[in-house]
Amino acid sequence: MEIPVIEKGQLPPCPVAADALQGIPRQQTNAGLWHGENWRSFVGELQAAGIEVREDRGSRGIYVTDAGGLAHGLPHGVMLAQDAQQVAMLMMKAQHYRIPVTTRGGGLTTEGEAVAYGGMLLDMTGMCHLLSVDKKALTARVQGGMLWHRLAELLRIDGLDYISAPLNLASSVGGTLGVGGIDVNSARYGCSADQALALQVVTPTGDIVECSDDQNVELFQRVLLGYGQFGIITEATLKIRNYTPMRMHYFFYHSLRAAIDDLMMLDQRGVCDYTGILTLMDKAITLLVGFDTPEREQDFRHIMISRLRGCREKKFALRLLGYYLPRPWRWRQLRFLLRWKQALFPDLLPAHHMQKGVLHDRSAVFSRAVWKHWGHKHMVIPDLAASKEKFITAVERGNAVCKKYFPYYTLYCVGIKLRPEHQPHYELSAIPPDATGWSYGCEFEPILDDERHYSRDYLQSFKNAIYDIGVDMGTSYYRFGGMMKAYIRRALGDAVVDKHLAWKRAADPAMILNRDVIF
Amino acid sequence: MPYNRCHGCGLCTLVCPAWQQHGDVRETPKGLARALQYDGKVIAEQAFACVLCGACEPVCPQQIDLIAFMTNLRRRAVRAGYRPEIIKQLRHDLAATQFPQQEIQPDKTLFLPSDPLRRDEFRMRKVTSLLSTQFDLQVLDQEIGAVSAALEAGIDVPLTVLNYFLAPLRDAPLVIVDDGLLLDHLRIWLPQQKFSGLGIILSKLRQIHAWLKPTDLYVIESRAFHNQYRQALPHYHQLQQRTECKLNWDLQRLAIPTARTFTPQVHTGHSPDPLTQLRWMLRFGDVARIVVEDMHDHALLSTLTQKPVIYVAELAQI
Ligand SMILES: Cc1cc2nc3c(=O)[nH]c(=O)nc-3n(C[C@H](O)[C@H](O)[C@H](O)COP(=O)(O)OP(=O)(O)OC[C@H]3O[C@@H](n4cnc5c(N)ncnc54)[C@H](O)[C@@H]3O)c2cc1C
Ligand code: SF4
Ligand code: SF4
Repeated sequence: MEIPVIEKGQLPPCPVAADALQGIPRQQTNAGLWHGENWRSFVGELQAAGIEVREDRGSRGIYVTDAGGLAHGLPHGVMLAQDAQQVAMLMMKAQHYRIPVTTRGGGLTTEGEAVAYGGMLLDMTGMCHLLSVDKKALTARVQGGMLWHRLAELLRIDGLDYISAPLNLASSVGGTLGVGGIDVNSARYGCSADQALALQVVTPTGDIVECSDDQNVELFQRVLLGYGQFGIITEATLKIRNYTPMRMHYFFYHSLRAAIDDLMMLDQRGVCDYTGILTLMDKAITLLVGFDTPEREQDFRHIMISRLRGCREKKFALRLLGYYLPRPWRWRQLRFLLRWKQALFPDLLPAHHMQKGVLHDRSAVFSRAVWKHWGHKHMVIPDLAASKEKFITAVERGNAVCKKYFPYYTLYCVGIKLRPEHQPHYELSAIPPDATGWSYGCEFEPILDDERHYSRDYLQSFKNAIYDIGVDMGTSYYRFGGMMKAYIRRALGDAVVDKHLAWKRAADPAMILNRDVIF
Repeated sequence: MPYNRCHGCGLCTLVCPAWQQHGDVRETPKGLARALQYDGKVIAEQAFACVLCGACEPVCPQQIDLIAFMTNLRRRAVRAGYRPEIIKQLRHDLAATQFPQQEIQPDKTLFLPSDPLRRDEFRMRKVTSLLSTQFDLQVLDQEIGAVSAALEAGIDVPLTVLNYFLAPLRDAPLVIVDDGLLLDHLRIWLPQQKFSGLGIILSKLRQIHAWLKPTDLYVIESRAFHNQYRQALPHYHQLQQRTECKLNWDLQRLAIPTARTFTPQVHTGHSPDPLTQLRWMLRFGDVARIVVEDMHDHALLSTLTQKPVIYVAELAQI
């Protein structure tokens, strides 16, 4: 039974395609609308095979945009993934009828990569089961639609945890392995994709293939960090670890350069288990460090603290006052800084997650804090990923762009440890080609609220300005998907892109799987 | 906040027992709000998979009143003719509710017990004597089951009934309510009035928490807990630290609901199954005894497990 129409929400009744922005061209996902050729025959065949295709507007409307909220598109139908066989059947038929298929996990992309501009949307969250855990080998086999939060809950039963995942627990394993997945411990363990030991993949032509470093190696290399171009991840074997709570410390800086220097120094020495920088504009720069064990924390206290250029909170507050007191025209900014600090910091160390001074379930804490303090209908988070050598310049240039566009913003920087043996995975990905040892990523995020309204064009032009730095400096992009088509060629060059495009054409003759995202 | 503020973060999905058991986003606040934002229509059955446990509300970064959102959807469905036979019966029960004239003594804390507690003389006596150690107490002799069932099913409570029901509550300095869903509505109906759930008050008493053991699973009543999340969270955290008992908490410190409802007839096959919920609460093992805050949960869990299930007030040695 349908519930009669309530007041309509805010979305326009006719969703616009990604390239419908007036004024500022979207250089990202320039997907054209797909108009539905052969749709009915395709759906008929799926239904005959007992597969449910949801075609009502409500069911499709759930997926009309992603976390970015700037690109809108409506699929012709939605399929909730159940198992690899059903997904394989979908791909076989889709290939035959040339129907675009957009895979979606948590849908937390910000450039419309997980939005379908027509065709079939495959919602992977229907496949959210933990299949097995090997406590000795510390590995877990999960379905591709497994959400990180659910995985953390399930592993905790055995005192285990995943290794690294986005600070955004509603994202999925499959969606993350295709993108990278950066955590505050990535400088120690690498990105989430580096934790994958084996995958079950449904290829664009509908074969179900197991791949790993020893089996179907090429497919493994393409799919990990491959942005869903070369197959749909239906299962993954992940490295996991024993659960540990986190001991956290903050150090405050005035200078981005000094904070980044210290971050890199700590990463290189491997003395911390978690490192990252979070700033409020370029005024309050916080270096966050964390430890899994009291011993590591002790070592850090003894050896490292005195070498850091940052200071503790009280000293920083005094310095900040010293800066702002003679500048009354900046007091508004000071008020903002204080308000934000007061609101945010308790949420990063909430009393109900603390036991004996140690933070438990950090992932749930950070994820909720991220959404509470940065959540907006438009998540505008352009990013850059660079080699160590280029990183500081990239951040400073990005910071200047942020200043030009917004009164209030934050930067979030983390290191990503690179695994030399994973070089083939990195080739067309978030990892910049010239990075060795570590790559560094920075997100540039305006603080948006309901008081100031920015047009979509304005937000888009800000993102373009950040991405242009990447092109200019020859860096990559932290979450990679953000860069998309036009940027990939410009940043990484034709040779690499054409090589991967040729692979894509061979793997996906009708070019239907997550089309227009990269190629 | 209205539902059209939903930006689809999915945090509500993660904690929703209906989603955890059935994996269909259409039945979560995210799915319903996004569908409405786009289309203005949803299917009634999707709104009735929800058991109004309230876990989604405190996690929503947009502070959307998700329980109000869900019950509002149900009201619309009922007005449009959802399951008419069942609704007719529930309306009849509501109309048959008696509102005894009771002299209310001003300045006394009012206690509104749930129907099963009222009927259980022994436990009722325990609860009132415990409460009397803290409050100058008056018990309201009022059946509430039909009102709660109506609210749960999405039936509009007629104004006359509501007036009778609310009249005695208006002047009390504090009303202790033994029903989480009712608590939620009472706060909306009488915004100036002070209310509290029963569970949080009882578990604050030394006579209760002194007897909790590390091998106890203490089952917080999820509706009341989420309704008063800010005050309840530090209290239960402390309770857990002090007694080392296990709580029916998830990683986000939300209460895992038993998923019991007053009106199983209006729910759909996709409503979460209580046995699965109980297994999830018991996932860490090492539980010798289950202590519950709510008499409905007591009745339900006693049928699902061999472990002793005791009502919270029974802990007190008075
Ligand atoms: C508030 C916020 C905070 C964030 N924080 C972080 C962070 O800390 N670190 C970080 O790395 N990222 C972060 N992100 C980005 C985002 O969370 C990641 O990109 C995330 O991992 C995407 O996962 P998902 O399940 O949402 O994927 P989706 O958005 O659904 O999909 C991502 C891409 O993968 C494809 N895909 C999805 N599922 C599969 C599958 N099973 N097989 C193959 N391809 C698939 C999709 O087609 C799409 O192209 C953040 C985003 C937001 C909005
Ligand atoms: S109230 Fe509970 S069952 Fe209902 S949508 Fe929220 S979390 Fe799910
Ligand atoms: S938590 Fe709130 S904002 Fe997020 S998806 Fe659910 S209803 Fe929407």
